[in-house]
Amino acid sequence: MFGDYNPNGFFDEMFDGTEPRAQGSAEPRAHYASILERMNSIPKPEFERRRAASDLTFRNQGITFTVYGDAQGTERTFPFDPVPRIIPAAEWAHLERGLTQRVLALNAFLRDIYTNQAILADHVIPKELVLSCSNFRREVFNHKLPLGVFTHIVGSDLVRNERGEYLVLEDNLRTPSGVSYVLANRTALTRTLPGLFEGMNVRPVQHYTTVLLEVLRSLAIGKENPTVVVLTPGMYNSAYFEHAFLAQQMGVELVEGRDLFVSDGRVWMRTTTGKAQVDVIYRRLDDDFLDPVAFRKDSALGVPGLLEVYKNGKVALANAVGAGVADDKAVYAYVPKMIEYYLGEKPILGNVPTLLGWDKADLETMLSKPAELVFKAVGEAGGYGMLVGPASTSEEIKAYMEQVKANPRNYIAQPVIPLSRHPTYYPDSGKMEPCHIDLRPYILCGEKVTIIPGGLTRVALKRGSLVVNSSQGGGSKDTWVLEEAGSQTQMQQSQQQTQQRRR
Amino acid sequence: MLSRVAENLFWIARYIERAESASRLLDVNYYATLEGGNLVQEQWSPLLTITGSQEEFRQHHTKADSKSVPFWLAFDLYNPSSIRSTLTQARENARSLRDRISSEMWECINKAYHELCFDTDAIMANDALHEYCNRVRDTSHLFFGIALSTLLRDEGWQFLRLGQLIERADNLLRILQVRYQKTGTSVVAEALENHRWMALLKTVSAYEAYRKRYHTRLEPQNIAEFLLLDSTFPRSVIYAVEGVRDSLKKLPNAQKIQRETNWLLARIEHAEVADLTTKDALEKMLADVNSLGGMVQSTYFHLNV
Repeated sequence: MFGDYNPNGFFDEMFDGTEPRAQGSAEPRAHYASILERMNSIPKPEFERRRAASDLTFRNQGITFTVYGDAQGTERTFPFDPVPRIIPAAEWAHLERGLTQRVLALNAFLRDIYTNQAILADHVIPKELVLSCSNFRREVFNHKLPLGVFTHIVGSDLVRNERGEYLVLEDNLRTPSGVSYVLANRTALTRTLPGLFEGMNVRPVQHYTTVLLEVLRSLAIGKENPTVVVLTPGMYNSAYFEHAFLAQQMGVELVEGRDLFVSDGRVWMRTTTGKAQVDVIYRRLDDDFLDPVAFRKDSALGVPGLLEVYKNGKVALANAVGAGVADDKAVYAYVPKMIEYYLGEKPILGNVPTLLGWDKADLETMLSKPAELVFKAVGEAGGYGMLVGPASTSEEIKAYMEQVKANPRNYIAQPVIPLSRHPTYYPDSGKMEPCHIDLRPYILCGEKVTIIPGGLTRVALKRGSLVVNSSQGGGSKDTWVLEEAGSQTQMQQSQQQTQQRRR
Repeated sequence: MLSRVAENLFWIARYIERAESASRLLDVNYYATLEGGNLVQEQWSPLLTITGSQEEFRQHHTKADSKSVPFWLAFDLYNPSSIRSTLTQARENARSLRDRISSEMWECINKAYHELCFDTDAIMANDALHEYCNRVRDTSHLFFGIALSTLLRDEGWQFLRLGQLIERADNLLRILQVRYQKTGTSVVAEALENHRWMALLKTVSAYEAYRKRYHTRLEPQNIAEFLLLDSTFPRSVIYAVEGVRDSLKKLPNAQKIQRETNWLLARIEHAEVADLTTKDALEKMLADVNSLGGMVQSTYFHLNV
């Protein structure tokens, strides 16, 4: 299956060197050597049988997402590639430090922006840029948050460039999705190719929901046994599977807006025996739709009066209202400066160089060479509202530039990053082919910061494509973080000791 | 328990039970018409009465025959009670309950949806209707069987039971309404009568059980007694109403609806079979069963808080 696999000038996760590879000549990186050998030992028909069986399992389990704008409104399974992506312990330790630093700075920024605005007064970030952000919520100015945390669940997108250097592509601070696939992919791969795991010391991921529940419960300060719920826009939302999955795994109610109501200054849910009070809401609904009294009047998904209760501290929301101002794609450009300003540290993870439509000089550059750049709308997510210059026709570019000119604040542009690639199995060719990938780790912030080892590796399955979003034809992989060699021996030793004592 | 969740559990059970009833109704009658020739041609229209869809059927089809009626009952998406429609709705409900039902229950209904609700065009032409109906029945049995062994016996279970039992009683009473319409003298041959009563019993999965209970010919009185009043037979009306009573005991705020249930039960238990099979009596029973369903809705799903 790996016969004529060719890194072809890109950084390849599995193979060292970028030269075209004659049969068996390029060396796999050390941490991939043993799984490569094991995969090669599985006959192709057997491999294909297992892959097809795992596809069917995903379908029967209904692990799907919904594609918007599709006439059918269909649910699709998120294609799962059985070749795992491996991150060595030292590499992960670096990412963990970098991400922790980043979320601490982002939370410091949010606390500052909604109180003193010192960073604006000190001219580190232009005031107009922040205050013109559509996700800046004046309504929660000076609101005191439990634990002082705005973003309890963060999913930052990381990519690797041609040198294999990790860069942050964007921060998702509102309602990042995809973590259910991390858990589902792990389960799927352990069933499909259990042999790959043997002796590899892959760090587990299934404790995510336990930690998530702890973080959510910790937001109900002083409440002995708080009622936590997951608020979903409903079963037609693209990430509905995940909302249901998380609620089920945490053992809490999954509610829709119509199940909740406000009275006597509290939030309640409608139950078969009357009303029951709700203390913490993990909402998978954007601010705009949360409360038709405070935000969008036409929202049928929200809970009228919710914001008032929230501001009085009688219900907690995760993530907090207003967190979106810090993941605005134009504000993103200033995160390295935030890290220096609030923490006095050098950023451990770099940003992708970003041109802001808001800035006159940048806008000129953007309009002068659009075919070389990737354009994004600042408030969008999920690959919607973006333009990949080199992959677009001149008509598409022209039409998009009209939008940019009409509302420059709403757009940014970045150089095309030659994302790292990873061998991925294609059922149609029956071969391993290189695909561009990214990585979305999930970061939980409560009293402390917890990062689940790995995250979601998304794969751009359309041959040659750089867009990994599920809505744009992406797939995903199981992502392994390996245990540090030293700590593993210790664990084995202590296990041996336990066994000896039992004897 | 959230009202919406309770309501969805109640309806998911009704939809699946309805799909099962429709599958048996169709399976038995489709194959029963093959024997007996012209004498049984009038079998098709009553099926529409049983499923309460005469009028809607006429809007989409001109003639009730061995092609249009099976299509209508099994596959037609214009028919909200067709097997395809009810399974689709059951699956939609299950999808919104994914966090509440066990993952095995969800997988069962999701798998059935993918396998039974698409590419149905060739089934009739390929003579695969019997197999299709069997698979629908199996899905229902599997679904409720998984529920039996995986679901917490909390309120949710009681609502699932209520939905299943009310739907079951409703379906049986509709069938009896049609079959006991023309009681009394009949000119049709005895063999044909026998054929019909047999079809009735099979339609409600009661043929083998009836034979074990009564060692006589297929007597309409005995059949009615069995289907209405035998509380050991799990598809009888009295079994369903008793089950409703038992489930209500486990639910809060059920006094009013319990009273109605006990009253209905008393009237069934203390009546003569002959008095229960009249047109009026069957109609009244059907209305009473449905009013229990209505009371469940107003007591638990749509309360003012």
